[in-house]
Amino acid sequence: MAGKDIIKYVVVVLLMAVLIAAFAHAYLQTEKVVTVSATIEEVMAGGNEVPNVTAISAGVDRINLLKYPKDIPANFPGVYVLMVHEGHRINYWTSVPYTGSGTYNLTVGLGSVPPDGSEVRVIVTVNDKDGKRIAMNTTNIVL
Amino acid sequence: MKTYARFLYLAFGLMALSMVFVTAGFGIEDSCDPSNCRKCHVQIYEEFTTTGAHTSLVCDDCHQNSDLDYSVPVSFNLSWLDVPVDTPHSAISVMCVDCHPNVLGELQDGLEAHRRFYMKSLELAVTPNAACIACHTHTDVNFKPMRKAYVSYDVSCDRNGYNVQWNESDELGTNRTDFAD
Repeated sequence: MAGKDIIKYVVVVLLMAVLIAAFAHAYLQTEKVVTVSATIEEVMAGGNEVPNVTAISAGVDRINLLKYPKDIPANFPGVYVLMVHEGHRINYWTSVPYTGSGTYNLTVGLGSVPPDGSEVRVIVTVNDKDGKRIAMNTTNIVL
Repeated sequence: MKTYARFLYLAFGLMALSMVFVTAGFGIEDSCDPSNCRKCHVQIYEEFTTTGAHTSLVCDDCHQNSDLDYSVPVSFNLSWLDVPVDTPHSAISVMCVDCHPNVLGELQDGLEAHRRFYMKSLELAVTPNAACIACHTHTDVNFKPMRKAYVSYDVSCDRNGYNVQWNESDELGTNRTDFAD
């Protein structure tokens, strides 16, 4: 009986050790993300105020796997980031609600990470309440 | 010893549960099942999966699923449940020119044959993708080609000779007609 208890004890301890190791691994390991800062101003056009993406700055950062951003549910209206490499969207769906003029900061996770040194097209769009794209701007970055 | 083992089970259970919660809270991948899309968009599904350059793509490569078809909660922020029921279905789309920006560059050329067609499409209440889809897919598009039936010139004469100017104006009403006429 005591022997069985010891086996159970060892199994539980081993499982906990594996879980702790997995947790620590995920906590410590980092992966590339792209941080995008987009400045949006509302300008008058045809008697209506329409958004205009005036500036985009994008950079590469690293974030641990537990906090890695993936697909974010759509926002209507929203500010969206698309990242295109060799004709393919490589980022997870990323958006924040659009609330008017201002600077929007988004952290974009990459579904597929291109090789180091790859040039990637970063597209920032503003989509209205129906999802229609009403403003966009682009920039390129090297990952 | 039994009490100690129970304690360990409990500790293990709590730890596993907390890890599930923690990891579930971050980074959910929206797993789109194309066969669901196929139920309503069978023609598009069949075409994209069997022909052309996009056979390797799935629906959510270009369209963000917005119909609350998330099988697991995205973090513990439940605001995603507040999305109104009339939220447009898969309304967020990648534009063709996002991945093919060279085409947009070509369309800047005033002599490019398809420029007018594309620019006109931007004025319509459809996605600009429609201009590409019209020719590059099997989608039925009510495309009415127009051609010049007459060419009009303004000709004047002065001491230097004849001045000929091509009149492209549609206002004449005779410059343009279509095949249906």
